[in-house]
Amino acid sequence: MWSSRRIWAVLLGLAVVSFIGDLFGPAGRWWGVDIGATAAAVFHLALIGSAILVGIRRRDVLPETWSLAEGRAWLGLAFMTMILLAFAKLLWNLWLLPEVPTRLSDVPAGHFLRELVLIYIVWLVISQLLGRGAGPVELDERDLRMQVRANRVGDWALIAAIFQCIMVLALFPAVLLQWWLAPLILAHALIGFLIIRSLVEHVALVAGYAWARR
Amino acid sequence: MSDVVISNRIRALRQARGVTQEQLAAACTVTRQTIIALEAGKYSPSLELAFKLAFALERNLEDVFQCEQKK
Repeated sequence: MWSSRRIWAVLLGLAVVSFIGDLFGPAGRWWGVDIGATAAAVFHLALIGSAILVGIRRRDVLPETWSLAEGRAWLGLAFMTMILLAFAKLLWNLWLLPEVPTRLSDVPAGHFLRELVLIYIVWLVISQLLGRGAGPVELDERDLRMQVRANRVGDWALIAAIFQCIMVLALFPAVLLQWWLAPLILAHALIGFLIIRSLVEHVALVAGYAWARR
Repeated sequence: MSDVVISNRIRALRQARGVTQEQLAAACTVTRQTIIALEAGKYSPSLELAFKLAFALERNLEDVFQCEQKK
């Protein structure tokens, strides 16, 4: 018999995998099945299922040695990964456009924004559900220490990304960077830096908890 | 690298008083997982939390925590 924790992990994993399938999977049908629509349906069902499971069995989904903050860190990592993937797909769609977009309305961001809103709402709901019945203290000094360290790692990742950007701008000929230097593309690249910074922070946070328990 | 080793007797003192991890955590306004980490020697608390633990266990700080210098 599978535990609630394992079912929850499988549902979240399924959500991430089907999300990748929806974004990057081949277009068209396979054995008469619409791959994109199926992956999107599995993604939404897995998200809803994981939220319902947390609502019903919230005390069972996290290991006993995990604090609420650690559970939320793992949740954040899963959802930040999905946001980064969706953003990568948006950048790819921008790359495929015949001309560099000059107005915001030229950016095909409708699908990305819908996914972003859905991901954020489900993230918020599951995070709140995890907090219910977690006890009087949701966050203590140990969690705060972990968060400060992870935040520092995130800052260093952002500094590294900016430094890399400076090197590219200084060393590469302007002709090769023409596409990246268009204002709207540059704005997207900067948003990408912020997403990567947040993802690195979440990775550092879950790694910090795992390291402290070794 | 730290040149001191801090150990504690939280588990023994807590069990001697018949207090659960949840009760001790609530008394010190921390999560139960922090008490688990402290008892397993995986976390060094702040001075404030160390005093809270000593108060909750009704002991002196040095009864709860011991510090040894590494050789």
